[in-house]
Amino acid sequence: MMNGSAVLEGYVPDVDATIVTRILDAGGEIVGKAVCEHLCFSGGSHTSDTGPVLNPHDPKRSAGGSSSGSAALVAAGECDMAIGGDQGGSIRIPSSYSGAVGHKPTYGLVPYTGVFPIELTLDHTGPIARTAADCAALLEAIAGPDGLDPRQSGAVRTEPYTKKLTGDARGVRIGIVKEGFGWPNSEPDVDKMVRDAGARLTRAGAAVTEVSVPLHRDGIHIWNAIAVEGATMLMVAGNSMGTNWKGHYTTSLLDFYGRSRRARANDLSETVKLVILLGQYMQDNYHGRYYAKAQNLARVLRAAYDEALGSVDLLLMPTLPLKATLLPAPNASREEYVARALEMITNTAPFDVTGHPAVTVPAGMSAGLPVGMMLIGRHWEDATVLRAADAFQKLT
Amino acid sequence: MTRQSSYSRRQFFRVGAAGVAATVVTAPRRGRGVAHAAVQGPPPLNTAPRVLRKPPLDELGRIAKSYDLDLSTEDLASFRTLPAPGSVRGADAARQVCSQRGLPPARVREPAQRVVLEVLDQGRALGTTGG
Repeated sequence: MMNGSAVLEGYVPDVDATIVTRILDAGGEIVGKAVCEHLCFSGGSHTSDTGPVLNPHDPKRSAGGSSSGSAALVAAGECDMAIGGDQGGSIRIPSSYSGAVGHKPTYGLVPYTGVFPIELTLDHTGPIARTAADCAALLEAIAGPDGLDPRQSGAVRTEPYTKKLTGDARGVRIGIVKEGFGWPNSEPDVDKMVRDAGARLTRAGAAVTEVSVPLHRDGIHIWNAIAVEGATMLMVAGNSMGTNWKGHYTTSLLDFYGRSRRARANDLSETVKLVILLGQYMQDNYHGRYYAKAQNLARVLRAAYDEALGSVDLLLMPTLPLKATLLPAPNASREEYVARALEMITNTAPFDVTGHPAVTVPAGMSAGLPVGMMLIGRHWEDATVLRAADAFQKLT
Repeated sequence: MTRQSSYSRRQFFRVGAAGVAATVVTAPRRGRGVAHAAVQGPPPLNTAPRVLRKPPLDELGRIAKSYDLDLSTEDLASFRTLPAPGSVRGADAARQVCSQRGLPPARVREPAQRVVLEVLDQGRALGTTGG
Protein backbone atom coordinates (compact mmCIF):
# COMPACT_ATOMS: atom_id res chain seq x y z
CA MET A 1 0.00 0.00 0.00
CA MET A 2 1.38 3.41 -0.94
CA ASN A 3 -1.49 5.89 -0.76
CA GLY A 4 0.39 7.66 -3.54
CA SER A 5 3.47 8.23 -1.40
CA ALA A 6 6.90 6.62 -1.35
CA VAL A 7 6.75 7.20 2.39
CA LEU A 8 4.39 4.21 2.64
CA GLU A 9 6.13 2.04 0.05
CA GLY A 10 6.58 -1.47 1.41
CA TYR A 11 3.77 -1.34 3.92
CA VAL A 12 1.44 -4.33 3.72
CA PRO A 13 -1.76 -3.91 5.73
CA ASP A 14 -2.49 -6.76 8.13
CA VAL A 15 -6.25 -6.22 7.98
CA ASP A 16 -8.72 -5.53 5.19
CA ALA A 17 -10.74 -2.34 5.26
CA THR A 18 -14.37 -3.00 6.15
CA ILE A 19 -15.46 -2.05 2.64
CA VAL A 20 -13.06 -4.58 1.08
CA THR A 21 -14.50 -7.34 3.23
CA ARG A 22 -18.01 -6.27 2.28
CA ILE A 23 -17.24 -6.21 -1.44
CA LEU A 24 -15.77 -9.72 -1.24
CA ASP A 25 -18.73 -10.93 0.83
CA ALA A 26 -21.10 -9.52 -1.79
CA GLY A 27 -19.37 -11.53 -4.53
CA GLY A 28 -17.13 -8.80 -5.90
CA GLU A 29 -13.69 -9.52 -7.29
CA ILE A 30 -10.79 -7.22 -6.42
CA VAL A 31 -8.82 -7.01 -9.66
CA GLY A 32 -6.13 -4.66 -8.41
CA LYS A 33 -5.11 -1.53 -6.57
CA ALA A 34 -5.35 1.86 -8.20
CA VAL A 35 -2.92 4.75 -7.96
CA CYS A 36 -4.07 7.75 -5.96
CA GLU A 37 -2.49 11.11 -5.20
CA HIS A 38 0.24 11.71 -2.64
CA LEU A 39 -1.52 11.03 0.69
CA CYS A 40 -4.62 11.98 -1.32
CA PHE A 41 -3.95 15.70 -0.91
CA SER A 42 -4.49 16.83 -4.50
CA GLY A 43 -7.37 17.32 -6.90
CA GLY A 44 -4.94 17.02 -9.82
CA SER A 45 -3.35 13.75 -10.92
CA HIS A 46 0.33 14.77 -10.89
CA THR A 47 1.42 14.25 -7.28
CA SER A 48 1.65 10.46 -6.95
CA ASP A 49 5.17 9.12 -6.48
CA THR A 50 4.50 6.50 -9.17
CA GLY A 51 4.01 9.26 -11.76
CA PRO A 52 1.07 11.19 -13.17
CA VAL A 53 -2.23 9.53 -14.03
CA LEU A 54 -3.25 10.39 -17.59
CA ASN A 55 -6.75 11.44 -18.55
CA PRO A 56 -8.41 8.69 -20.65
CA HIS A 57 -9.76 11.35 -23.04
CA ASP A 58 -6.50 13.27 -23.48
CA PRO A 59 -3.23 11.91 -22.08
CA LYS A 60 -1.74 15.39 -21.80
CA ARG A 61 -4.39 16.31 -19.27
CA SER A 62 -5.12 15.56 -15.65
CA ALA A 63 -7.35 12.63 -14.76
CA GLY A 64 -8.29 14.51 -11.59
CA GLY A 65 -7.59 13.46 -8.04
CA SER A 66 -7.16 12.32 -5.52
CA SER A 67 -8.77 9.00 -6.51
CA SER A 68 -7.09 9.49 -9.87
CA GLY A 69 -6.41 5.88 -10.81
CA SER A 70 -9.85 4.71 -9.70
CA ALA A 71 -11.73 7.10 -12.00
CA ALA A 72 -9.32 6.72 -14.92
CA LEU A 73 -9.51 2.90 -14.78
CA VAL A 74 -13.30 2.95 -14.65
CA ALA A 75 -13.59 5.48 -17.48
CA ALA A 76 -11.10 3.49 -19.59
CA GLY A 77 -13.11 0.30 -19.03
CA GLU A 78 -10.35 -1.50 -17.12
CA CYS A 79 -12.74 -2.37 -14.29
CA ASP A 80 -16.45 -2.04 -13.61
CA MET A 81 -16.34 -0.17 -10.33
CA ALA A 82 -13.80 1.40 -8.02
CA ILE A 83 -13.53 2.91 -4.57
CA GLY A 84 -12.49 6.48 -3.91
CA GLY A 85 -11.93 8.66 -0.87
CA ASP A 86 -13.37 12.18 -0.68
CA GLN A 87 -12.25 14.92 1.72
CA GLY A 88 -12.35 17.92 -0.63
CA GLY A 89 -13.85 16.29 -3.71
CA SER A 90 -11.55 13.36 -4.37
CA ILE A 91 -14.27 10.99 -5.63
CA ARG A 92 -16.08 13.62 -7.67
CA ILE A 93 -13.11 15.52 -9.13
CA PRO A 94 -11.49 12.58 -10.98
CA SER A 95 -14.92 11.28 -11.96
CA SER A 96 -15.74 14.66 -13.49
CA TYR A 97 -12.39 15.12 -15.25
CA SER A 98 -12.35 11.52 -16.54
CA GLY A 99 -16.03 11.08 -17.40
CA ALA A 100 -17.26 8.66 -14.73
CA VAL A 101 -20.01 8.69 -12.13
CA GLY A 102 -18.71 9.25 -8.61
CA HIS A 103 -20.81 9.27 -5.47
CA LYS A 104 -19.72 10.83 -2.18
CA PRO A 105 -22.11 9.27 0.31
CA THR A 106 -23.66 10.98 3.31
CA TYR A 107 -20.99 11.46 6.00
CA GLY A 108 -20.82 8.28 8.04
CA LEU A 109 -22.90 6.12 5.70
CA VAL A 110 -19.92 4.05 4.56
CA PRO A 111 -17.40 2.94 7.20
CA TYR A 112 -13.95 4.42 6.77
CA THR A 113 -12.26 1.75 8.86
CA GLY A 114 -8.95 0.65 7.33
CA VAL A 115 -8.78 3.52 4.82
CA PHE A 116 -5.95 6.04 5.16
CA PRO A 117 -7.56 9.21 6.55
CA ILE A 118 -6.97 12.94 6.17
CA GLU A 119 -9.34 14.58 8.63
CA LEU A 120 -11.86 12.79 10.78
CA THR A 121 -14.77 15.16 10.10
CA LEU A 122 -14.10 15.36 6.34
CA ASP A 123 -13.34 11.72 5.53
CA HIS A 124 -15.74 9.96 3.15
CA THR A 125 -15.34 6.87 0.99
CA GLY A 126 -17.64 5.75 -1.80
CA PRO A 127 -18.15 4.29 -5.27
CA ILE A 128 -16.98 5.30 -8.75
CA ALA A 129 -18.50 3.56 -11.79
CA ARG A 130 -19.62 4.23 -15.34
CA THR A 131 -23.27 4.37 -14.35
CA ALA A 132 -25.28 5.59 -11.39
CA ALA A 133 -26.86 2.15 -11.28
CA ASP A 134 -23.45 0.54 -10.71
CA CYS A 135 -22.68 3.15 -8.04
CA ALA A 136 -25.95 2.21 -6.34
CA ALA A 137 -25.04 -1.48 -6.44
CA LEU A 138 -21.61 -0.87 -4.92
CA LEU A 139 -23.03 1.50 -2.32
CA GLU A 140 -25.56 -1.14 -1.34
CA ALA A 141 -22.71 -3.55 -0.65
CA ILE A 142 -20.53 -1.22 1.42
CA ALA A 143 -22.97 1.04 3.34
CA GLY A 144 -23.93 0.57 6.97
CA PRO A 145 -22.32 0.74 10.40
CA ASP A 146 -19.38 -1.50 11.29
CA GLY A 147 -19.09 -0.54 14.94
CA LEU A 148 -15.45 0.47 14.49
CA ASP A 149 -15.56 3.89 12.83
CA PRO A 150 -16.05 7.07 14.89
CA ARG A 151 -17.42 8.82 11.80
CA GLN A 152 -20.50 6.63 12.13
CA SER A 153 -21.72 7.88 15.49
CA GLY A 154 -25.47 8.27 15.57
CA ALA A 155 -28.08 6.52 13.47
CA VAL A 156 -26.84 5.40 10.05
CA ARG A 157 -29.72 5.00 7.62
CA THR A 158 -29.25 2.65 4.67
CA GLU A 159 -31.67 1.85 1.84
CA PRO A 160 -31.84 -0.70 -0.97
CA TYR A 161 -30.32 1.80 -3.39
CA THR A 162 -30.70 -0.27 -6.55
CA LYS A 163 -34.38 -0.81 -5.88
CA LYS A 164 -34.93 2.95 -5.61
CA LEU A 165 -33.81 3.53 -9.21
CA THR A 166 -37.01 4.04 -11.20
CA GLY A 167 -35.43 5.18 -14.44
CA ASP A 168 -37.12 8.55 -14.12
CA ALA A 169 -37.12 11.55 -11.82
CA ARG A 170 -40.87 12.03 -11.55
CA GLY A 171 -41.80 14.09 -8.53
CA VAL A 172 -38.20 15.11 -7.80
CA ARG A 173 -37.76 18.86 -7.28
CA ILE A 174 -34.33 20.13 -8.29
CA GLY A 175 -32.87 23.55 -7.45
CA ILE A 176 -30.06 24.91 -9.61
CA VAL A 177 -27.80 26.72 -7.13
CA LYS A 178 -26.89 30.03 -8.69
CA GLU A 179 -23.78 30.47 -6.50
CA GLY A 180 -22.31 27.26 -7.93
CA PHE A 181 -21.75 29.06 -11.25
CA GLY A 182 -19.55 31.94 -12.30
CA TRP A 183 -16.48 31.41 -10.14
CA PRO A 184 -13.45 33.46 -11.22
CA ASN A 185 -12.00 30.34 -12.87
CA SER A 186 -15.31 29.01 -14.25
CA GLU A 187 -15.26 28.04 -17.89
CA PRO A 188 -18.33 29.37 -19.74
CA ASP A 189 -18.89 26.11 -21.64
CA VAL A 190 -18.96 24.17 -18.35
CA ASP A 191 -21.52 26.49 -16.77
CA LYS A 192 -23.70 26.43 -19.88
CA MET A 193 -23.55 22.67 -20.31
CA VAL A 194 -24.56 22.05 -16.70
CA ARG A 195 -27.46 24.53 -16.86
CA ASP A 196 -28.66 22.84 -20.06
CA ALA A 197 -28.29 19.40 -18.46
CA GLY A 198 -30.33 20.58 -15.48
CA ALA A 199 -33.07 21.77 -17.78
CA ARG A 200 -33.02 18.40 -19.56
CA LEU A 201 -33.91 16.69 -16.29
CA THR A 202 -37.44 18.05 -16.75
CA ARG A 203 -37.77 15.48 -19.55
CA ALA A 204 -37.21 12.80 -16.92
CA GLY A 205 -40.08 14.21 -14.88
CA ALA A 206 -38.19 16.49 -12.49
CA ALA A 207 -39.34 19.99 -11.58
CA VAL A 208 -36.33 22.27 -12.02
CA THR A 209 -36.07 25.76 -10.50
CA GLU A 210 -33.28 28.11 -9.45
CA VAL A 211 -32.34 28.54 -5.78
CA SER A 212 -29.83 30.72 -3.95
CA VAL A 213 -27.47 29.67 -1.15
CA PRO A 214 -25.20 32.71 -0.64
CA LEU A 215 -23.08 30.96 2.00
CA HIS A 216 -21.99 28.41 -0.62
CA ARG A 217 -19.44 31.01 -1.77
CA ASP A 218 -17.79 30.87 1.68
CA GLY A 219 -17.87 27.09 1.92
CA ILE A 220 -14.39 26.73 0.48
CA HIS A 221 -12.96 28.99 3.19
CA ILE A 222 -14.67 27.06 5.97
CA TRP A 223 -13.29 23.85 4.45
CA ASN A 224 -9.84 25.39 4.21
CA ALA A 225 -9.65 26.22 7.91
CA ILE A 226 -10.77 22.70 8.84
CA ALA A 227 -8.68 20.83 6.29
CA VAL A 228 -5.34 22.53 6.88
CA GLU A 229 -5.20 22.28 10.67
CA GLY A 230 -7.19 19.07 10.88
CA ALA A 231 -5.01 17.26 8.34
CA THR A 232 -1.84 18.42 10.05
CA MET A 233 -3.03 17.16 13.40
CA LEU A 234 -4.45 13.78 12.24
CA MET A 235 -2.68 12.81 9.03
CA VAL A 236 0.79 14.06 9.93
CA ALA A 237 1.32 14.80 13.63
CA GLY A 238 -1.19 12.09 14.57
CA ASN A 239 0.50 9.55 12.27
CA SER A 240 -2.85 8.96 10.48
CA MET A 241 -4.67 7.81 13.62
CA GLY A 242 -4.57 10.56 16.22
CA THR A 243 -6.21 10.04 19.57
CA ASN A 244 -9.48 10.64 21.41
CA TRP A 245 -11.82 8.32 19.51
CA LYS A 246 -13.09 4.81 20.06
CA GLY A 247 -12.87 2.23 17.31
CA HIS A 248 -10.29 0.30 15.34
CA TYR A 249 -6.75 1.68 15.24
CA THR A 250 -4.56 -0.02 12.62
CA THR A 251 -1.42 -0.30 14.73
CA SER A 252 0.77 -1.74 11.96
CA LEU A 253 0.09 1.39 9.90
CA LEU A 254 0.93 3.60 12.87
CA ASP A 255 4.21 1.77 13.40
CA PHE A 256 5.24 1.95 9.75
CA TYR A 257 4.03 5.41 8.82
CA GLY A 258 5.05 7.02 12.11
CA ARG A 259 8.67 6.06 11.50
CA SER A 260 8.72 6.46 7.75
CA ARG A 261 7.17 9.92 7.53
CA ARG A 262 10.01 11.23 9.71
CA ALA A 263 12.78 9.27 8.01
CA ARG A 264 11.53 10.27 4.55
CA ALA A 265 9.96 13.65 5.31
CA ASN A 266 11.62 15.23 2.29
CA ASP A 267 9.78 12.78 0.04
CA LEU A 268 6.41 14.26 1.01
CA SER A 269 4.64 16.16 -1.78
CA GLU A 270 4.63 19.92 -2.06
CA THR A 271 0.94 20.01 -1.13
CA VAL A 272 1.52 18.00 2.04
CA LYS A 273 4.52 20.16 3.00
CA LEU A 274 2.38 23.25 2.51
CA VAL A 275 -0.32 21.84 4.77
CA ILE A 276 2.22 20.95 7.47
CA LEU A 277 3.82 24.41 7.49
CA LEU A 278 0.54 26.30 7.58
CA GLY A 279 -1.40 23.92 9.80
CA GLN A 280 1.29 23.85 12.48
CA TYR A 281 1.74 27.62 12.23
CA MET A 282 -1.98 28.13 12.82
CA GLN A 283 -1.92 25.75 15.78
CA ASP A 284 1.15 27.36 17.33
CA ASN A 285 -0.03 30.95 16.93
CA TYR A 286 -3.81 30.79 17.11
CA HIS A 287 -4.29 27.69 19.29
CA GLY A 288 -6.83 26.07 16.99
CA ARG A 289 -9.08 29.13 17.08
CA TYR A 290 -9.84 29.14 13.35
CA TYR A 291 -10.32 25.39 13.17
CA ALA A 292 -12.80 25.70 16.03
CA LYS A 293 -14.68 28.60 14.49
CA ALA A 294 -14.83 26.84 11.14
CA GLN A 295 -16.30 23.74 12.78
CA ASN A 296 -18.93 25.95 14.38
CA LEU A 297 -19.62 27.59 11.04
CA ALA A 298 -19.92 24.15 9.44
CA ARG A 299 -23.24 23.85 11.26
CA VAL A 300 -24.36 27.18 9.80
CA LEU A 301 -23.29 26.03 6.33
CA ARG A 302 -25.19 22.76 6.71
CA ALA A 303 -28.27 24.67 7.85
CA ALA A 304 -28.05 26.92 4.78
CA TYR A 305 -28.10 23.93 2.42
CA ASP A 306 -30.79 22.22 4.51
CA GLU A 307 -32.95 25.31 4.23
CA ALA A 308 -32.66 25.20 0.44
CA LEU A 309 -33.35 21.47 0.59
CA GLY A 310 -36.58 22.29 2.39
CA SER A 311 -38.12 23.60 -0.81
CA VAL A 312 -36.40 21.22 -3.28
CA ASP A 313 -35.24 17.60 -3.07
CA LEU A 314 -31.88 18.05 -4.78
CA LEU A 315 -29.41 20.85 -5.46
CA LEU A 316 -27.58 21.03 -8.77
CA MET A 317 -24.40 22.79 -9.88
CA PRO A 318 -21.24 22.10 -11.91
CA THR A 319 -19.09 19.54 -10.12
CA LEU A 320 -16.04 21.61 -11.02
CA PRO A 321 -15.68 25.03 -12.61
CA LEU A 322 -13.18 23.58 -15.08
CA LYS A 323 -12.65 20.78 -17.53
CA ALA A 324 -9.50 18.68 -17.16
CA THR A 325 -6.41 20.89 -17.12
CA LEU A 326 -3.01 20.20 -18.66
CA LEU A 327 -0.70 18.14 -16.47
CA PRO A 328 2.16 20.25 -15.07
CA ALA A 329 5.55 19.51 -16.57
CA PRO A 330 7.97 17.58 -14.33
CA ASN A 331 9.98 20.77 -13.80
CA ALA A 332 6.93 22.95 -13.13
CA SER A 333 7.20 25.65 -10.51
CA ARG A 334 5.88 25.03 -7.01
CA GLU A 335 3.18 27.63 -7.73
CA GLU A 336 1.92 25.71 -10.77
CA TYR A 337 2.20 22.36 -8.99
CA VAL A 338 0.04 23.54 -6.10
CA ALA A 339 -2.43 25.48 -8.25
CA ARG A 340 -3.12 22.44 -10.47
CA ALA A 341 -3.67 20.41 -7.31
CA LEU A 342 -6.17 22.63 -5.52
CA GLU A 343 -7.79 25.06 -7.98
CA MET A 344 -10.97 23.11 -8.68
CA ILE A 345 -12.49 22.31 -5.28
CA THR A 346 -14.80 25.30 -4.75
CA ASN A 347 -18.04 23.40 -5.40
CA THR A 348 -17.06 19.99 -4.07
CA ALA A 349 -15.32 20.81 -0.75
CA PRO A 350 -18.28 22.44 1.05
CA PHE A 351 -20.21 19.16 0.98
CA ASP A 352 -17.34 17.36 2.69
CA VAL A 353 -17.76 19.91 5.47
CA THR A 354 -21.55 19.46 5.71
CA GLY A 355 -21.71 15.75 4.90
CA HIS A 356 -24.52 15.96 2.32
CA PRO A 357 -24.53 13.15 -0.27
CA ALA A 358 -23.33 14.35 -3.68
CA VAL A 359 -22.92 12.56 -7.00
CA THR A 360 -21.21 13.70 -10.18
CA VAL A 361 -22.59 12.47 -13.46
CA PRO A 362 -21.23 13.30 -16.93
CA ALA A 363 -23.36 16.10 -18.40
CA GLY A 364 -21.72 15.89 -21.82
CA MET A 365 -18.49 16.60 -23.66
CA SER A 366 -17.00 19.97 -24.53
CA ALA A 367 -13.83 20.37 -26.58
CA GLY A 368 -13.39 16.60 -26.33
CA LEU A 369 -13.42 16.60 -22.53
CA PRO A 370 -16.09 15.47 -20.05
CA VAL A 371 -18.10 17.97 -18.02
CA GLY A 372 -19.54 16.86 -14.69
CA MET A 373 -22.89 17.83 -13.16
CA MET A 374 -23.26 17.49 -9.38
CA LEU A 375 -26.50 16.59 -7.61
CA ILE A 376 -26.68 17.05 -3.84
CA GLY A 377 -29.33 15.64 -1.51
CA ARG A 378 -30.45 15.64 2.09
CA HIS A 379 -28.53 13.57 4.62
CA TRP A 380 -29.22 9.84 4.21
CA GLU A 381 -31.18 10.43 0.98
CA ASP A 382 -28.43 9.00 -1.21
CA ALA A 383 -31.11 7.01 -3.03
CA THR A 384 -32.76 10.17 -4.36
CA VAL A 385 -29.42 11.52 -5.54
CA LEU A 386 -28.60 8.30 -7.38
CA ARG A 387 -32.12 7.99 -8.77
CA ALA A 388 -31.89 11.42 -10.44
CA ALA A 389 -28.40 10.66 -11.76
CA ASP A 390 -29.63 7.37 -13.17
CA ALA A 391 -32.64 9.07 -14.77
CA PHE A 392 -30.34 11.65 -16.36
CA GLN A 393 -28.07 8.95 -17.77
CA LYS A 394 -31.08 7.18 -19.26
CA LEU A 395 -31.98 10.40 -21.10
CA THR A 396 -28.62 10.64 -22.83
CA MET B 1 5.10 38.91 51.19
CA THR B 2 2.72 41.77 50.62
CA ARG B 3 -0.02 41.56 48.09
CA GLN B 4 0.94 44.59 46.04
CA SER B 5 4.68 44.27 45.95
CA SER B 6 4.89 41.72 43.15
CA TYR B 7 1.95 43.06 41.19
CA SER B 8 3.52 45.33 38.62
CA ARG B 9 1.69 47.89 36.53
CA ARG B 10 2.83 46.11 33.39
CA GLN B 11 1.29 42.84 34.55
CA PHE B 12 -1.89 44.66 35.48
CA PHE B 13 -2.34 46.08 32.01
CA ARG B 14 -1.54 42.76 30.43
CA VAL B 15 -4.14 40.78 32.34
CA GLY B 16 -6.69 43.61 32.12
CA ALA B 17 -10.20 42.94 33.35
CA ALA B 18 -9.50 39.35 34.35
CA GLY B 19 -6.75 40.58 36.62
CA VAL B 20 -9.04 43.13 38.20
CA ALA B 21 -11.68 40.47 38.82
CA ALA B 22 -9.17 38.10 40.38
CA THR B 23 -7.83 40.89 42.57
CA VAL B 24 -11.29 41.83 43.80
CA VAL B 25 -12.31 38.27 44.51
CA THR B 26 -9.20 37.43 46.42
CA ALA B 27 -8.65 40.77 48.10
CA PRO B 28 -9.98 39.80 51.54
CA ARG B 29 -7.54 36.89 51.77
CA ARG B 30 -4.24 38.54 52.48
CA GLY B 31 -0.97 36.86 51.81
CA ARG B 32 -2.20 34.27 49.32
CA GLY B 33 -0.14 35.24 46.30
CA VAL B 34 -2.81 37.28 44.59
CA ALA B 35 -0.48 38.66 41.99
CA HIS B 36 0.57 35.19 40.91
CA ALA B 37 -3.03 34.05 40.56
CA ALA B 38 -3.97 37.10 38.53
CA VAL B 39 -1.11 36.73 36.09
CA GLN B 40 -1.94 33.08 35.51
CA GLY B 41 -5.57 33.81 34.67
CA PRO B 42 -6.69 33.46 31.04
CA PRO B 43 -6.22 36.56 28.92
CA PRO B 44 -9.33 38.57 28.18
CA LEU B 45 -10.97 37.72 24.89
CA ASN B 46 -10.12 41.03 23.31
CA THR B 47 -6.43 40.19 23.40
CA ALA B 48 -6.91 37.02 21.33
CA PRO B 49 -5.13 37.35 17.97
CA ARG B 50 -7.48 38.65 15.28
CA VAL B 51 -5.11 39.31 12.41
CA LEU B 52 -3.37 36.52 10.57
CA ARG B 53 0.30 37.37 10.48
CA LYS B 54 2.20 36.23 7.44
CA PRO B 55 4.33 33.43 8.94
CA PRO B 56 7.86 34.70 9.62
CA LEU B 57 10.46 32.66 7.77
CA ASP B 58 12.32 31.70 10.94
CA GLU B 59 9.11 30.34 12.42
CA LEU B 60 8.37 28.31 9.28
CA GLY B 61 11.94 27.07 9.44
CA ARG B 62 11.44 25.92 13.03
CA ILE B 63 8.22 24.11 12.05
CA ALA B 64 9.91 22.48 9.05
CA LYS B 65 12.73 21.27 11.26
CA SER B 66 10.30 19.86 13.82
CA TYR B 67 8.81 17.72 11.03
CA ASP B 68 12.26 16.72 9.71
CA LEU B 69 11.79 18.70 6.52
CA ASP B 70 14.91 20.18 4.92
CA LEU B 71 13.66 23.36 3.30
CA SER B 72 15.86 26.26 2.21
CA THR B 73 14.98 29.87 2.94
CA GLU B 74 13.91 30.20 -0.71
CA ASP B 75 11.63 27.18 -0.34
CA LEU B 76 10.05 28.59 2.79
CA ALA B 77 9.57 31.98 1.15
CA SER B 78 7.81 30.44 -1.82
CA PHE B 79 5.46 28.44 0.41
CA ARG B 80 4.43 31.73 2.00
CA THR B 81 3.24 33.24 -1.28
CA LEU B 82 1.25 30.42 -2.86
CA PRO B 83 -2.21 31.48 -4.05
CA ALA B 84 -4.16 28.23 -3.63
CA PRO B 85 -6.55 26.98 -0.96
CA GLY B 86 -4.41 25.58 1.83
CA SER B 87 -2.03 28.52 1.47
CA VAL B 88 -1.49 31.59 3.62
CA ARG B 89 -3.84 33.55 1.37
CA GLY B 90 -6.40 30.79 1.64
CA ALA B 91 -6.02 30.76 5.41
CA ASP B 92 -6.50 34.51 5.56
CA ALA B 93 -9.71 34.21 3.55
CA ALA B 94 -10.83 31.52 5.98
CA ARG B 95 -9.94 33.78 8.89
CA GLN B 96 -12.03 36.61 7.46
CA VAL B 97 -15.04 34.35 7.00
CA CYS B 98 -14.64 32.94 10.51
CA SER B 99 -14.29 36.42 12.00
CA GLN B 100 -17.22 38.00 10.17
CA ARG B 101 -19.82 35.27 10.44
CA GLY B 102 -21.79 34.94 13.63
CA LEU B 103 -21.76 31.64 15.43
CA PRO B 104 -24.90 29.50 15.40
CA PRO B 105 -27.27 30.05 18.31
CA ALA B 106 -26.81 27.67 21.21
CA ARG B 107 -29.22 24.78 21.20
CA VAL B 108 -32.26 25.29 23.40
CA ARG B 109 -32.09 22.95 26.34
CA GLU B 110 -34.82 20.40 26.79
CA PRO B 111 -36.84 20.92 29.99
CA ALA B 112 -35.53 17.67 31.47
CA GLN B 113 -31.93 18.77 30.92
CA ARG B 114 -32.70 22.14 32.42
CA VAL B 115 -33.96 20.54 35.61
CA VAL B 116 -30.78 18.49 35.92
CA LEU B 117 -28.62 21.55 35.28
CA GLU B 118 -30.56 23.59 37.83
CA VAL B 119 -30.08 20.84 40.42
CA LEU B 120 -26.37 20.79 39.66
CA ASP B 121 -26.17 24.56 39.90
CA GLN B 122 -27.95 24.53 43.24
CA GLY B 123 -25.64 21.78 44.42
CA ARG B 124 -22.60 23.83 43.45
CA ALA B 125 -24.00 26.86 45.22
CA LEU B 126 -24.43 24.75 48.36
CA GLY B 127 -21.02 23.20 47.95
CA THR B 128 -22.47 19.70 47.69
CA THR B 129 -21.31 18.85 44.18
CA GLY B 130 -18.00 19.12 42.47
CA GLY B 131 -17.19 21.50 39.64
